[in-house]
Amino acid sequence: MTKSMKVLLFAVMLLLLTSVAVAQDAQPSGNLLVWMQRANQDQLEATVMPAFYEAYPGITVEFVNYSPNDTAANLALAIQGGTGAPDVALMNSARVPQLVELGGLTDLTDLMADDIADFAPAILAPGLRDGRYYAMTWDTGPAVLYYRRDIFEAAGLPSDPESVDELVATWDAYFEVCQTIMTETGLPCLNMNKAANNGVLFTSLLIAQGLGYWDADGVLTVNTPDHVATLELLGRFWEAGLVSDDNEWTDGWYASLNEVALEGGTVQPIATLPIAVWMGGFLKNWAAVDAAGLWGVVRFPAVAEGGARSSNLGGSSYTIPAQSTNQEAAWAFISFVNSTESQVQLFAYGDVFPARISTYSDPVFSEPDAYFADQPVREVYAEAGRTVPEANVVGIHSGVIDSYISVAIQRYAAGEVSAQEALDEAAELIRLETGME
Amino acid sequence: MAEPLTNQLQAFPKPQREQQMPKWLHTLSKHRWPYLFISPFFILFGIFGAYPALFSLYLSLNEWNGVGEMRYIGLDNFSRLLNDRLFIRSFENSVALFFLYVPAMLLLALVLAVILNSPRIRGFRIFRTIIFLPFITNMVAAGFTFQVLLNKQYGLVNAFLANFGIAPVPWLESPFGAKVALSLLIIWAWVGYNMVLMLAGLQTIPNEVKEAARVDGANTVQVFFLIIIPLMRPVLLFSTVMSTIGTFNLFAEVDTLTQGGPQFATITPIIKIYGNAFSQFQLGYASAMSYTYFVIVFVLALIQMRTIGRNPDETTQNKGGRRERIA
Amino acid sequence: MNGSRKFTDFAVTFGMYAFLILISLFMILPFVWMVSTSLKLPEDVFGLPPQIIPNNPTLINYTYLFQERDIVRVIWNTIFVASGATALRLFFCSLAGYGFAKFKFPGRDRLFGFLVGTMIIPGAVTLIPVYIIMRDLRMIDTLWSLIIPGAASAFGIFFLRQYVSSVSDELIDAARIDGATEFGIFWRVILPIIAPGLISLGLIFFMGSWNDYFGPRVFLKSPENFTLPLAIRSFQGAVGLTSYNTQMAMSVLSLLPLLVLFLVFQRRIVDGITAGAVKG
Repeated sequence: MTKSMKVLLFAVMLLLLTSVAVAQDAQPSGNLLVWMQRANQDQLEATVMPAFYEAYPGITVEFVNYSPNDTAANLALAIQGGTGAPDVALMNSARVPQLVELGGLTDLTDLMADDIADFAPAILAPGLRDGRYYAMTWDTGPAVLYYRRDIFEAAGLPSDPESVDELVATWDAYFEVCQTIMTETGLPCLNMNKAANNGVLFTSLLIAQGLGYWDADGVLTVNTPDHVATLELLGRFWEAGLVSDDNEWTDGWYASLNEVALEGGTVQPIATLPIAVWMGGFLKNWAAVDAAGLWGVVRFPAVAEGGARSSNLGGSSYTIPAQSTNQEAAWAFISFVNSTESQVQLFAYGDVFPARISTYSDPVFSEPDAYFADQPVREVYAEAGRTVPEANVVGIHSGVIDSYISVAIQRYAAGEVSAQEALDEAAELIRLETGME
Repeated sequence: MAEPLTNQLQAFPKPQREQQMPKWLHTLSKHRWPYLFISPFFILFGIFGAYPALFSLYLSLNEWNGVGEMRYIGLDNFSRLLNDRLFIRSFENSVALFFLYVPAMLLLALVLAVILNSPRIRGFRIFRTIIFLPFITNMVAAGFTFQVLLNKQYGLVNAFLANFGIAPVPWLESPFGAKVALSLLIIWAWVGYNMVLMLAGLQTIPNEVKEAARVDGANTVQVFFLIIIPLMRPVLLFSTVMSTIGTFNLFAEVDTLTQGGPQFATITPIIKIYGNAFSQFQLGYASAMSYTYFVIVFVLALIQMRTIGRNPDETTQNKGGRRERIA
Repeated sequence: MNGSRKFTDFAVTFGMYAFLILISLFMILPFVWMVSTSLKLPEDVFGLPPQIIPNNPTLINYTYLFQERDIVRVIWNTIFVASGATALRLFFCSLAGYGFAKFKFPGRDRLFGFLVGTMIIPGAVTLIPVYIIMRDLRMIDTLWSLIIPGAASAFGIFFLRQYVSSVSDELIDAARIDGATEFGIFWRVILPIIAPGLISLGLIFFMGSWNDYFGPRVFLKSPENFTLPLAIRSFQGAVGLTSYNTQMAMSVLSLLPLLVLFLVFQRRIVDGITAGAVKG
């Protein structure tokens, strides 16, 4: 070999070696601390985690469970306290704005560059600030109405999805259906707790009408005539005694979802459940296992004739705290578990409604679901997802607003004040606390 | 025995150098041991007491979320305080709680102490142990236990009351019920402690006094109200002041049993301050609140000491009675 | 006449006992319920009618805590914090108590008055800045943040000063003559004599620190650093379900050590409490 060829050979070998080395360095590794609620961890572990560990053998993941609200609260504290933040935090999208405002979250805009187009702008809005994104949405919570076929039949009502969908076209119609059920079977129609009402149902009714808590100028709008009318709509159910007093996520509530016996059982089953689609996964996987085959799904009743038959309750987003010392591995985790493929898998397993538009063309959406008596429920979910109205409900003051609204509802439910008074009081307190107009 | 060395030394004149030291340094050096011994407290207090108290005052004039920049806003926090319905409400709640449980608890503690002190009762140690036992419980454990016991549908208490035909009581679901539930918890936890204090106080009352009263024809009830209570005044005062401060300070109990609800009925000032500081990240505002709180509680304690802690001499003179002055 | 007197006597005594027993039951009931619930399966926690003795007693709550929840770590954290805080406080308070009781130095009375005055400053006023200080010292989420700030206890100094005053001066002078260092006197002469006071105060400090919830709530972040009260509060059960049974199991665990201490040292604890109040 001539000298120059040797040099060339050496250079090529060096190049190859370094590129191999670089390629190996490029594999993110390390230990990740991930905060999310137990239910979500179970979902991930049942679907995408095995593949993740295969793709990234150098990464180990340690899950720590907090309830959704606690995750946001604890993350805020960790940011404020300068220590203790995880590498990845999954939290309710509703709490994201407050955390973005606080600072301390990594700017994900460049990392997400290819994905941004796959989300509707409104979906990513909670994590958006000054044109930069600080959170990546996983799922949203389109609202539907779950109903017990057996109870409808016992009340002499049709129980197939098409008919029921028409029966409950509006909340007024839904009210009448509930009355029928109560007269014929004596069973409650849905749960509406009074003393500790969390305001979720009320908010969902507002969103269904495109109403929010503030207008385009940021002026507070919680006690307009429409808002008062919505609260009074709920009041009718209390007055007519058509509801159970269980609050969501309590033992009594789970029991009422799971109870098969229409009479003589330990608790009274409830006939319907107006809630987000992620409940489907919970029902079939652990909350109402005994009631397999008895539940069906139809669209959320519209508040007024011709209104939207959908709403949004919840949804969660991934964030990377700036304190994390392993940002690369953190992003590898998020981009993997939040890819189109992963979102579809999680949807198939737990009915966690994917936020990515590219998932909507997947055949999983038309599969029949054995738990729901072979109804292709995901079509209903998809329809709900497509028609969610936009409303100003998620923002930096959401926490304060939600808590005062809840108290207003509780006071109204207890009969202490009228709906107008309750919401007026809430408006005043919110203004004092937040400085909103 | 030879004269102590120190005395002999004092006979000699002090060396030149010592006389040229500045006076304060000399004092410091001469008494270096006591100053050294008491210094840890003052150093720690300086770092964790005085400095924070002053910094807190400074913070109360600013707006700060703990992470970003501080913004000077003068007395805005304080004017906001005056309109903060929740803050005012927290004090109202504490006052309501105070009257709900303090008189009952102190009376109960005193009655128990008097009973236990009586020669009629055997098993003093056992009863005292049992009644004092709740004192060792942490408030989180106690709070959750009471939550289970007072559950409206499934709790033991309502099940028991149902035997008497009483409808399920909404202990934790109504604003007043929650206050009552909280009171029950506090009484359960603290009556033993107060009883022990009263017992000690009772034992300082000489038996001759009670005997003399009985000889004069007083029955048990009169002895109780006219002799025992006045003589127990220091202990009663102490318990009252402690209970007052304790009521405003309630945190763990509320955080576990009622979370400040329902409908803000059990928010206490500390809960409010904590919430504004660590949930809303309004550190300046929270500091302003804590200073106001400090002033209010301090004034209240002073008032109590003036009204309850009146010098027994004064009362005797005012009444001009022939009651003997008990030392 | 005698007969009715005897009857009244009997009635009063009977009434007193009945009252005592009633109150005692009220005191014990929550403990019984705590233990009972800790031995129940999740579905039995809210079973109707409520069972005082569980139908299906089980130890799974405890085994769950030890095997899957690393409760040993939490217990150790609590022991560490309580012991550390107590030791540090006893040391500083006895030292200062000795200084105030047995030495005459300029400003002594004024400094002591100042010390007593500091007892009225509520924790709320200093909370936020102390939090900031701890944060800047990188001590948030460490167990030390629970030990160090509280090491200055004015109450403890007040309490121990009284005990130290009772030590005879001759004893101290004799030790000085024998050539002991000041610190040596403190360590070898004073401490042994005030040992009962140390035990009483130490027990109060220990139990207070063990049961503290506010401090851990503010300063601790990671579950592996939690102390028992905070762990009980922050416990997240299995998916969605309420977790009273495991929380009660944790509560029982948090009580047992203090129960032992209490039963053994009851006398000392009572002394500690009453000395502070009645003499003051």
